[in-house]
Amino acid sequence: MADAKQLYEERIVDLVTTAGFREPKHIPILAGILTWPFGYYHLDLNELLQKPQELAEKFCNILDEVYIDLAHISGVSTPVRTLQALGSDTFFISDDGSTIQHQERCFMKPEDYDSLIANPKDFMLNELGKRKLERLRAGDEESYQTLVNAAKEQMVFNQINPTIAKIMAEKYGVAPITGGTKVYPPFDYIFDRLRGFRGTMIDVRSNRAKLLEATNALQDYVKGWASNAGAAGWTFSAGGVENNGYPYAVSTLHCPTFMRPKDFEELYFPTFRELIEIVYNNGSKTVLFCEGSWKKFAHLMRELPKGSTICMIDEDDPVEMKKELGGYATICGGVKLGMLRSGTKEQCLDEAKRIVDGCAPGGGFIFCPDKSLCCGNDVNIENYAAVNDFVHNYTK
Amino acid sequence: MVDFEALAKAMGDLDEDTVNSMLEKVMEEGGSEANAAMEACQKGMEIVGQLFEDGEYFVGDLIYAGELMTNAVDILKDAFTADAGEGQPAAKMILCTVKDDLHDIGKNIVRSMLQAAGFDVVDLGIDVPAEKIVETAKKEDIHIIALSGVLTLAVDSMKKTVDAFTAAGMRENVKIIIGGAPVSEGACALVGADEWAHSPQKTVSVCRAWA
Repeated sequence: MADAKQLYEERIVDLVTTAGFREPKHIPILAGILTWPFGYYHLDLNELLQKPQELAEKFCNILDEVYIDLAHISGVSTPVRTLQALGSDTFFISDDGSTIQHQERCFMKPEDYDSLIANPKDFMLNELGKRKLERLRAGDEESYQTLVNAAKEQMVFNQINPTIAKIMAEKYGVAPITGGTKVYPPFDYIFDRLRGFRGTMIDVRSNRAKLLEATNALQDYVKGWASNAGAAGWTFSAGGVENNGYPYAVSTLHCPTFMRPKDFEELYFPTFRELIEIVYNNGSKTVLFCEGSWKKFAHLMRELPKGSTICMIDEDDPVEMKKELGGYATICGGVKLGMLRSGTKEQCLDEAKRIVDGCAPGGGFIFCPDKSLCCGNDVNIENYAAVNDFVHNYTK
Repeated sequence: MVDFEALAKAMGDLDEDTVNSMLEKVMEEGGSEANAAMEACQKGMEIVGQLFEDGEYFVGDLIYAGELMTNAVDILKDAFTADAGEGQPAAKMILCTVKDDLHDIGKNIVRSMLQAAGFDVVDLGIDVPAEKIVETAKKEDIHIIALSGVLTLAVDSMKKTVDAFTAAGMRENVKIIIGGAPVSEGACALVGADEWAHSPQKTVSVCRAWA
């Protein structure tokens, strides 16, 4: 294998090149690897969560079986043990011993909108926090001990993903695509953490004005995170390629796929656009996980500054999305997990070729499956490895 | 006297105020037309399902429609008791989210649509082991099984459920449809189900054909 440091730098050059709408030397191959390796290797995640170095080493063994260039949010995404220490059951490890799931818990009622709008931070920390976490209502002594226990778990958790990233970089030359800056559209914040799926969808019709007001009120709260983008950039240059804001910011967009386009345009898009523009004006780009189908929003995505986004495609056809957004956004797309799991190798390779032929010309393309890998059986690893090897070596 | 065509349209339009005021009028008039009002709401749900198929409505609208139907039943329910149902018994079926998956939004949407279509839905809830599904089907003589899931883990559980019916010697006597984000034609073949669906309307059509 080539020197890991050299590979790391070459991969960033290819990423920055394609994100600048020029054809790279190799099409970058991206993966979001979550708890898949733990399921694949039949490991006990809860036990490993207490041993960050061992967890990281076992996690990274998957890179001996599958070729990738870049990593997107890889590792353990949620501090499950911290949340359990706080008394929350929103996130948990499934019965398979490795997949982290969440279940909807909604603690904000429609009548809480005025409190949220008046002072979002105060409402979320001092009111909602206590509703979510029973142990923080148990009196000062128990609450204090709860926080101590949670802090201890968090200190262990904080070692996990940096250790994974270090092994990925130093042993395998795999570079992260993002630098940790979070772009969190406030409408999605309400959807994910405050009113929940059902509550938010009902509020779109029954409580529309308050929902919009709350979205706008939360914008100041989330703007500060977006403003960190571009602060710590990659400074070396190679092959004459100028850095265009790497490492990039990240956003996972959960709600839009469930919304009517006119509701998305009125309620979600304005604050979302402002955050994308903040990152862009700071000299960087935002990687968007466009969950579900986004073709119906393509006309709005073309209103964002050209080159400001890198869109990870889920249900849509990447080739169709390249036609819609080519020159506006970099498209991340590839063979769907469903096909990688249950298709033949030939079907997967044919599909990979179709996508590369349709998306790669002119740059602005990264090869990546439609979803991050969470469960042990998410893919047939032979199909996945074959597809990535093919794309890495494919030249027309 | 309530205009039931207008009620169906209002339900299809997801016009909460109009639907509720019409249903309240039915009850103010004594509730004798509660069954007709419920049928109108069910017709409205069919309109909703079709608009979703046509790409006019989205999942958020289906969730809202489910709320309107639940509310409609709540307003009319006392009159149902007084105005006993007639005609064909409803076809019974099982619906659930399979083991290791706790998602229920999609399942609940499909449940509303199936109930609106006249099915007697035995909703077993979430994270349901294969054994419970098989046992319930056997005990209640149910031959239509709808399995839901969102995680890729759910596909494994769906397969285990189908295998459990085979092991119990019941596979030939049941029809199984799987639904949710990770299902596809390939997943259907892998699982051994009879049908698969991403849309509530397809689920209703398939189950109607099996009933």
